[in-house]
Amino acid sequence: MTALNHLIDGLGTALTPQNLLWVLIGVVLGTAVGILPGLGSPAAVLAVLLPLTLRLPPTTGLIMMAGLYHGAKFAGSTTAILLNIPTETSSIVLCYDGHELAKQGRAGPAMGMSAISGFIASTVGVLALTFLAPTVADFAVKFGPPEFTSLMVFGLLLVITMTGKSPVKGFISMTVGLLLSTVGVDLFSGAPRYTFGSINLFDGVQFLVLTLGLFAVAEVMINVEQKRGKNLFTVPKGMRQLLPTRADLRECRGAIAQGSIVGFIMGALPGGGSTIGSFVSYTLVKNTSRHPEKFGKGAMEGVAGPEAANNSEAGGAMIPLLSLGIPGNASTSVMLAALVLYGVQPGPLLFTNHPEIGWPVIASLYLGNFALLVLNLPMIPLWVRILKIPYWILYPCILVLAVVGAYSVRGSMFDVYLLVFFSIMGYAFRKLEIPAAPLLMAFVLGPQAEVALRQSLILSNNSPLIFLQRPISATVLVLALGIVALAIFTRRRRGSLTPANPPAETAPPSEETAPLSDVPAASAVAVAHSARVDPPAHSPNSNERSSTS
Amino acid sequence: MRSTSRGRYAVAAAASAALALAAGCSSSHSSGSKPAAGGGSAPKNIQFIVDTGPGGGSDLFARQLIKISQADKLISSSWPVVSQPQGGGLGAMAFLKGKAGSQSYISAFTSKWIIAGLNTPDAPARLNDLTPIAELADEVQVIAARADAPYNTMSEFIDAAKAKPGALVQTGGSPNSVDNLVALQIEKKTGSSWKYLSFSDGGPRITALLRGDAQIDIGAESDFHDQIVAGKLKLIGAFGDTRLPEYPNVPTIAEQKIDLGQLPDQLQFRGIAGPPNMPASAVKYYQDILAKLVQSPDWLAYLKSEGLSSRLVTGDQLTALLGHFTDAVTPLVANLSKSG
Repeated sequence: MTALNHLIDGLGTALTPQNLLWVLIGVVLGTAVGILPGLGSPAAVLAVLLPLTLRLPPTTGLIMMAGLYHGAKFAGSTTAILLNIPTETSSIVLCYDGHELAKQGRAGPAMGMSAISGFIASTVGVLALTFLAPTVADFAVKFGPPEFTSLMVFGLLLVITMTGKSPVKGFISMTVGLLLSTVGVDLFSGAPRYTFGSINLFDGVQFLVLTLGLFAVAEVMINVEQKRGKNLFTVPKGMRQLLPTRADLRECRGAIAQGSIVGFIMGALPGGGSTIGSFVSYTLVKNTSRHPEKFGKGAMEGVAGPEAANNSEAGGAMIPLLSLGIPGNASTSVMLAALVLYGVQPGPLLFTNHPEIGWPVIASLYLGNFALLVLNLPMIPLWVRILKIPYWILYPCILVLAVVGAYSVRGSMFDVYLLVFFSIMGYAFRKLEIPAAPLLMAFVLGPQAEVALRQSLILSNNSPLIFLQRPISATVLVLALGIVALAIFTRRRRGSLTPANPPAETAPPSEETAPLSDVPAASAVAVAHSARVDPPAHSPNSNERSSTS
Repeated sequence: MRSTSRGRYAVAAAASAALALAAGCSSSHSSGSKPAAGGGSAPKNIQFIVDTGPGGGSDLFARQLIKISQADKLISSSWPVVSQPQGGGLGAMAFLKGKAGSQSYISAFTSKWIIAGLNTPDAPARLNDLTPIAELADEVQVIAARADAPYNTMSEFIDAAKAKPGALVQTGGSPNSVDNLVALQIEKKTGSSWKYLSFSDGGPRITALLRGDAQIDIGAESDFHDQIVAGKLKLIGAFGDTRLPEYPNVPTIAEQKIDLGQLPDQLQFRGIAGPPNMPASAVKYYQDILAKLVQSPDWLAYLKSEGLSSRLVTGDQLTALLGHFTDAVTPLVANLSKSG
């Protein structure tokens, strides 16, 4: 029970009026800055506001950063739900159901659900962090390249199972995403791929530029050509319709529970992060829901599950950071930078050497989430008003924000031209009814999958058996198979909803596996990818690699 | 007293928020194509170019340099830090090349920039296109292994690698990094061979060691410090002329009779460079500030906390140092692109 005592002590330290003030300021600032694309991702918000927090005493500064982090995360969900702009990878999933709900006049409940499920999940995450940190840290260390490869196979398969009406179009979208993700300097050979000799492409395509073009600008283009004067959104009337109903909450109980657990585990893996957590959670919730047919058309569970995963991830991500000194994702990298600037080296000795920092950090994460709930639930009516802005004001604003956002990622005009290119692509996708979300997911997961696959094969001298010899890897592959089986089963059960005949959707991948039968059929996607696009991708975020300290 | 200190924080925070905004605005304005005017007067509106994103190695280095210079009254206003992260140094070098003759842009370079220029046949800019101002610090490189590994020195590891060629694994960053180049050099000189496993981030390299997927990792002592204190990792060698004071039992590479050929022991260094043809008056302006900075106790304390040792090199000596390093890595990089 010492862990619990420490947590309570930590809360005691964190709960001074001054700290509470700073956590509130953090949440408000984080949300305000996070709403702007370009500064949207929590990592960027933290980085921009890092100098500000450094003027404060360490505990207060870290508590404020926790507030900023949660504020920015909520802002990411808000733009995804209201405007169909996912400013960070973990809110891509919200474009499926969150934005649909907004179109149906349920933006408020969707945002409320995001905040509430996030809060519950965060509670689970902090408690799990408090009690399970040593166990989970041991598990996280065991997660090497082969385990990651299997996890990515799992993730990419999930992308396919959630492609909606036409699996073929989903597959096309995913393939384009994988192709785009290969642009840049290859980690293993240092060779530039598909850069056309331009150093602007050496670090690959920037996620934000792709997202803004594919979603924000394309959305504007599609809507502008529709009949003028028509309301795009059903704007809700009255306060009562702005918060989730009791029925909503009851319906989402299971989704929140699943999301919390999945998010925590994924967050704890170094390099795992909330993106795959939110994907896995969405698919799990969809496949276990009583109303899977509602998914993609505005299912409240489709918001609750991924948002729970997205938030309990923060608790999980602190495990590798605090216990190993290894940041789990971009946001914790910035937290790490802040800790180091305060003269605190996170690592196995943090809790022994600096108990005055370690526990209050955990407590402050939780406080940040609480402050978010308290502040933002009453603010939702204000946010929803964005939808009441007439399109002739809203659209130019979105376009300006998109251009500024694309430019500001690296201060490069080249990225603005790329934005134009992706906007046209996004428009074409809409016209052809190809879903854009699988593209984005493949873009995010593809490089991780490739890197892990190639690392594994280096370790095993090119023997694919490594994926079955390592117990965790084998288990994940079996789970992946299970998910596919479940997806096929549910699709068959409601066969009338699938226009294509069900066997067709899984047959092509398994055929492609045959010549490379190193991994079970489940891995078809990754294998198909590497067979097609050889040599495949490397992650665009090469900041860390290039730093010397 | 408490209330005044609170008030001070609030003011400081508000002021720094305003500063951050102003810095953001000015950087996005002037990072356009407008070249700053060169002239006889002291440089104005100075911008600090770094090759990593916020929170990355060079970014933190530049921010600390500015923070300490400001605190010690060496500079009157804060210099905005501008990130040009394309291509690990290539983007930053190309940016500076476009500002030829200007005195208002400086950058934090690392030894990696030399390799980046060599490794890219049509690199838009190379370090020798720029005006080197000073070398500031060396990062002492050490070799770490798991605490229960059967070898206590690098030469024992090399013997183990000879016994099982290609079986042992070194983990690190991209194959163009100095840690791989120095390994290739050692393999060539000793007739041994082992595998190189790339990870883009430092964290997974340490877990690869802990998990046993890799046997050694070359990096800064600070990368491994906590794991060493916790008894999970140990050092089996250090690059440098003398042993590390904190690790008197860890022999240097030279003591272990490992031949690095042309390569110096100082593999990772950090310095400051300006655009091509930077006016001599501006070079001197920055050198004067840096000469005072390296006397600052705060600066030395910061370097020590990062595992860096202070080494101010300017003028002809700097040119020689950079030239020597370039000559040493050129054949290694050439071999790399042949085999890769």
